[in-house]
This record gives sequence, C-alpha cells and structure tokens, in this order.
Amino acid sequence: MTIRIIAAYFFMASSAAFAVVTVLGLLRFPDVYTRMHAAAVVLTMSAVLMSIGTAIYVWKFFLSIKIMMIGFFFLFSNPMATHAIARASYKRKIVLPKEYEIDAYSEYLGRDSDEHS
Amino acid sequence: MIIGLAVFFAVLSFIVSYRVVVGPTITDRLIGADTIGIFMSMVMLMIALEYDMFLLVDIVLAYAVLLFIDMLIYAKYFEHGELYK
Repeated sequence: MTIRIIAAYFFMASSAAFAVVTVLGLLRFPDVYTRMHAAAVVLTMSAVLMSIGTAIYVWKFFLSIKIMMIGFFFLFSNPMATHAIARASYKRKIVLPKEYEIDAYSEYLGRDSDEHS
Repeated sequence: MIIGLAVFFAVLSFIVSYRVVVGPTITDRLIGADTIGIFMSMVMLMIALEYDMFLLVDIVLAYAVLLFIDMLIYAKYFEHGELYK
C-alpha cells in the first residue's frame, strides 16, 4: 500500500463524510429551500472529491483525465439543475409568500410580494 | 474497502428515498431523485475501479449528462406546465 493509495482512500473517505452530511441535511432541515441548499452545495463537494480519489487510484493518464472530467461536469451541472428547480418552485409558489423572512426576488421581478399569494 | 464504500453509498441512497416517497412538496421529490442519481453514478465509478471495467466510466459520463438534462426538463415542465411554450 503506497502513499498514493492512501491518498486515494483519504479522498474517498472525505467524500463519504460529505455524503453523510448531505443525507443528514436532506432529512433534518425544516424548509424546502434549506434542504435544496444542502443537496446543492455539499453533494457537489462529495462528487468532486470522489472523482479526485478515483482518478488518483487508477493513475493512468487518459483515464484519470476522463474521470476528472466527470467531476468537472458535476461541479457545473448539479448547482445549475438545483437552481433551475428552485426557480421553478418559486414561480409555482411552493412556499407561500407569507412564510419568507426575506423575499428579495419578487422585488427583483418588479412585482408586489402580496400579489402572488 | 472500495466495495464496502459502494455498499455504504447504496445504503445512503436508500435512506434518501424516504425524501422521495414522503416528501411534503414536489420539489423535495425532485431533489431526492437528483441526489439518488448522483450517488448511483458514484457507486458505478467505484464498481468500475473494483472490477477493472473501465467501460463503465463512459457510461457514468453519459449518465451524468442524461441526469442533468432530465433535471432541466423536469424544472421547465414544472415551471410552465408544458414543455413547448
């Protein structure tokens, strides 16, 4: 077991720790948007760490670059998809506007906050 | 150790399926499905390492792109009520 395999195991174990934090956030957070925040931020970190650990483990040039490209794609795709779902669920009024603490997006859209209730 | 980690991720995605089944709103179900898809792609990456099937890496890349397009189409359909508008 060389130091390269130990580094790969370290990255994979950190990815598993971030995945545990993701599952805890998805199960225990009280609101829709906080749960979405947990699934967007921490899960992206977990996927990128897993791809880095896998690329260190195989240690072949083109295969490692391909696996790193998967992680680089997850780095962009997961926050974009989560942002699209959050925007759609705001437009479809999943959480009622009375329940927001701060509602800056309706001011950005130029409509009154009481209008779409 | 890698196959144990893969089993661990499978158990985690099974726990996340609670949020898909009994989520209060439809947004929770979509986010849970996205999370399960990313966990499954990571499990497929670990299986490719364990059994030396590196064809699975290409399959994981295609799976990630399909998952991304799926989520964008779900979000657009959920926002407008129809796709072509």
